Amino acid sequence: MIDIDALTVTFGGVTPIDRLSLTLDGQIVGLIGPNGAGKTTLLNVLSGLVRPSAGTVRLFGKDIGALAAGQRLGWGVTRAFQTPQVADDLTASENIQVALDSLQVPRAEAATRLAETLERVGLAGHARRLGAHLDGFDLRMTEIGRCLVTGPKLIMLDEPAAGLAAAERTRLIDLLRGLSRAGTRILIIDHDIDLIAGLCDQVAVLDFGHLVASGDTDTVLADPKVRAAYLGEFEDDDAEARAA
Amino acid sequence: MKHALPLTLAALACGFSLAMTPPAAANEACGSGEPATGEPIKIGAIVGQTGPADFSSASKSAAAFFDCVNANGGINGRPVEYLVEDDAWNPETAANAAAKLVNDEGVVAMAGSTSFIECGTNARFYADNGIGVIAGVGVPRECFFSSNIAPMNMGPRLSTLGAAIDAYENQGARSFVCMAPNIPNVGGWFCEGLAAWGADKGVETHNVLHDPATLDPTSLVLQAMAMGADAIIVAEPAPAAIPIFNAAEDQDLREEAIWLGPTSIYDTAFPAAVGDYWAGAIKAHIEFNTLDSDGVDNTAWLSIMDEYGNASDPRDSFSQGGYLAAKIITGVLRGIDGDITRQSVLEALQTMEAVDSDLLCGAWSFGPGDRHNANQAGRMVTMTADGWETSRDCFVSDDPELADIRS
Amino acid sequence: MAMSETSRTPLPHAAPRGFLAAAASQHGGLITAFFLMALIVPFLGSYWIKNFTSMIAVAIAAQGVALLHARLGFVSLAGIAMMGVGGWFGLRLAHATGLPFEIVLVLAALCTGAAGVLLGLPALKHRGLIYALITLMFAAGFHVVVSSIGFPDGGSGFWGRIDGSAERQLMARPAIAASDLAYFLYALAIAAAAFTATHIVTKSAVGRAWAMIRAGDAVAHAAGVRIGIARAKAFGLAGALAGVGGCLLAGSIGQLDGRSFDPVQSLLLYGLVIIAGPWSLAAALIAGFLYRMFPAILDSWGVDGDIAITIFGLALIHAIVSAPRGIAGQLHDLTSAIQNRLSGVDR
Ligand SMILES: Nc1ncnc2c1ncn2[C@@H]1O[C@H](COP(=O)(O)OP(=O)(O)OP(=O)(O)O)[C@@H](O)[C@H]1O
Ligand SMILES: [Mg+2]
Repeated sequence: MIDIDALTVTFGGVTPIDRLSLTLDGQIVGLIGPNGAGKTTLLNVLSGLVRPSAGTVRLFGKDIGALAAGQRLGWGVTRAFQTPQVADDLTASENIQVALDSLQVPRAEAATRLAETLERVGLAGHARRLGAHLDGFDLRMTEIGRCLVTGPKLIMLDEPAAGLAAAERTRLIDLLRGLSRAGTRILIIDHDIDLIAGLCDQVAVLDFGHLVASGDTDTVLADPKVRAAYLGEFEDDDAEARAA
Repeated sequence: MKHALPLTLAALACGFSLAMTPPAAANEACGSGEPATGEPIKIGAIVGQTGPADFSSASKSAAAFFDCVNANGGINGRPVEYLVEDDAWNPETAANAAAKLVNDEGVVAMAGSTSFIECGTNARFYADNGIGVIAGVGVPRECFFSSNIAPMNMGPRLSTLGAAIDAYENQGARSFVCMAPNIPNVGGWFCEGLAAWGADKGVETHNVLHDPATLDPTSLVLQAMAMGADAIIVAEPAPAAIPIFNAAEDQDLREEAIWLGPTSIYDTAFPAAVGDYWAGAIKAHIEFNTLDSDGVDNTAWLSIMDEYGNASDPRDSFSQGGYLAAKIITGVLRGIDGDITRQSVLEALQTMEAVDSDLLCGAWSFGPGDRHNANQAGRMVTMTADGWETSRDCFVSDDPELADIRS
Repeated sequence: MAMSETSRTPLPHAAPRGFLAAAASQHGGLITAFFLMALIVPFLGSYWIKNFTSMIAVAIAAQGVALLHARLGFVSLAGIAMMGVGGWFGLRLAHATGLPFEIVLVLAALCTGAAGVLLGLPALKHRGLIYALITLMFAAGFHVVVSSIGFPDGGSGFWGRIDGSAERQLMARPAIAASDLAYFLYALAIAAAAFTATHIVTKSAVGRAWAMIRAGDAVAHAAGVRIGIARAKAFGLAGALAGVGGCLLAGSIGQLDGRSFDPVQSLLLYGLVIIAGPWSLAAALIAGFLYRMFPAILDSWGVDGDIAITIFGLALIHAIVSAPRGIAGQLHDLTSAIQNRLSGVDR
């Protein structure tokens, strides 16, 4: 699904991704790594917001280097942001509608898809609320709605569970499971190892722009290098995770 | 196109306050009787006060005249309420001002208006509303080509032509250069008059028109000289003419041509500004009598200004035009039997008997017809080291364009 | 002014269902103002009718300035200059073609809209102060050019200027609105249409795209918004609005003069739009009122119209410091407070 070859990203003197090669395939795949590892940067490359300095990126077998962000949306690749990006002065519904506008979906079909999506992300009741007045979870759901409404092949989420209460987290997980069952592939970045372990078929671990490990979730999470580089910081969590 | 420069004011105040006659003359000119008390008769004026130059002088002398009228019997006992609006040299403001005066205030006529843009903007409005306008001083063509506007002055086109005629008749000039700002219906229109007359007389004429925003005096002078003409007419407002003469002095061109100008250079501060070099070498055509002439109207004008005007009001030829406009409308209003309405005033204007004045050469009347240019004759003055002296009395500016009006 | 500044703006809660209901609740004050003007101005006399007509023309152009500021975060210091461009096109087309006023109005709006897009091109590279300065330079350049060339007055040639001497032509008014009063009502109707069109556009896909751009370039890209095109549409709409305003002004007076279009006027209009609170559709009307009527009112009271500038300066400081949503926002808060009081709702 995701094939990355010798990918390098540089911003001035910083090289957040350095000759990274990586293959991930699965219904739900995870991307983990400590702060500043380059996860968001990689997601930016995949969604077309950042141009790599070198290397190639293939999604579903196609080299997407030449596609602009908007074209990737049309091609079925969508994303949400680490800090939810929702227009304050548009309603939840309008924030989602924007993606349909971009794809020039005919009016009638757009209305049906919008209603379905609002229902699916649990915003039907808050559809007419302005972005400025949405709470954290609704903001996340608005963003996910904006991805979903396009009927994507792949949704990429950047720490969607950060800051959520337990009940909200459960609703998020249910939503993602449902999507995955319906055939949508998901790439998820998160520091919440339980979430990753519970959802993902495959995981990649980044550190300082390098790949530490990748492959089946269980194997990767058991890898001593991974535990040293990343999970070491979360020893207690890890213990709990295994106990669970 | 004279500019009421502070310098001019000072010079005028000093120069002419001495030449005053007693105030008795003032009262005679504006009537006799008790101060007026009846229902006011509203007369309006639109002047370009704020903007590139202050053109409000005519409305100030008209206001002084009306004050004098009101103190001396008014219009058969009714006072004149004189309403002056500033158009700020802006057509939008001019149109709004006309609407205010005519529609809202209900003026019965306009008198003493002096504006660069007002005639063009409002001529049709006056015609549609049947308002008669005696402009104090008209500059652009539109002031002379409207059914309802009649200016007191000859206009710069006739003044420019007058200067040429004098040089043709008295100095043997047979080729001319007309130098003027390239503003539609202003500079081009002046010079066309010269060309039309020249074509009749078999005289060669050339134009040097320039963008008013960019004045390069040296190059203008050289351009004009290159045409090899006998006479050069500097048809510019005084502030633009001064650097042109200075540039000609720098090249020592005084003797190379006959140097002329229309009324706009007839300014008391002008001789000092161009300097002794030019004494006796610049002739100007003037549309009204000299500012220090001793005729009845000129004397009355100065004394009314002293009695009813402000010390700071200019005593220039704009002011003479405003005085005449106010005097003539007053006479016309006094002659109306029955209601004084805009219709009756316009009718009275169109049928008025011609009025004589020592400020003018010929008799002036509003006249019927689609356009008005009653004042067609002027005088010549020659610049001396410290002023101007009359060098030719009244003569007509024989503009072929006016054939229909004269016939 | 940066994008973030516009997105920080406090927003009203309301978002009622239904287009008309939404428009009425959001713009109730504005709609009332239009009706009041239609009812009262006819009785104010010719001078005020003409002034109100000019004010309406300026308000339409101000809507474009408000749009660029509030929707795109761009500072346009060429509002009045663009109105001049619209007036130029209107006069030129009217004299050249003799077409009915309505058609000239539409064509002038289209041409000025195209000019607006061109003036928006530097916005591809520059924003904030630099873009503001570019527009101010445009306004200054326009003033220089139009002062020396002049507005078309029925002459021939590309510039449509009379050469030498001939009758200067006035722009013909619409057949149904020849009198000053009829023309005022006509202009008011055009303004209502222009404001409604602006409202519809901001509620459409284009308006959503603008909101997305305000939220951030990254999310706009990710949501498939073509930022350049969306911006160009805003510049085009702002230009078209200025074109309509300029053409209405030209029709009102019959001719235009460069003196009305100096860059200070554009600068002033922008300041007034900010004072008025560009996030509301009503701001344009308030700005037009302050620009055109306030000095006239002071003048009619015998107060020097230039005092207005000083008052505007203080108001601008007040707007920046303590009324970030401008006069329109304060009026809106006031009316909704009254509405709530009346309907017994406590928010
Ligand atoms: N636009 C940019 N310009 C310069 N440096 C950047 C830019 N974007 C990211 N970086 C740098 O690249 C590195 C990787 O950042 P990135 O946001 O990808 O990390 P991350 O793995 O998502 O971290 P976190 O878990 O904190 O979100 C960081 O050092 C960051 O400062
Ligand atoms: Mg990140």
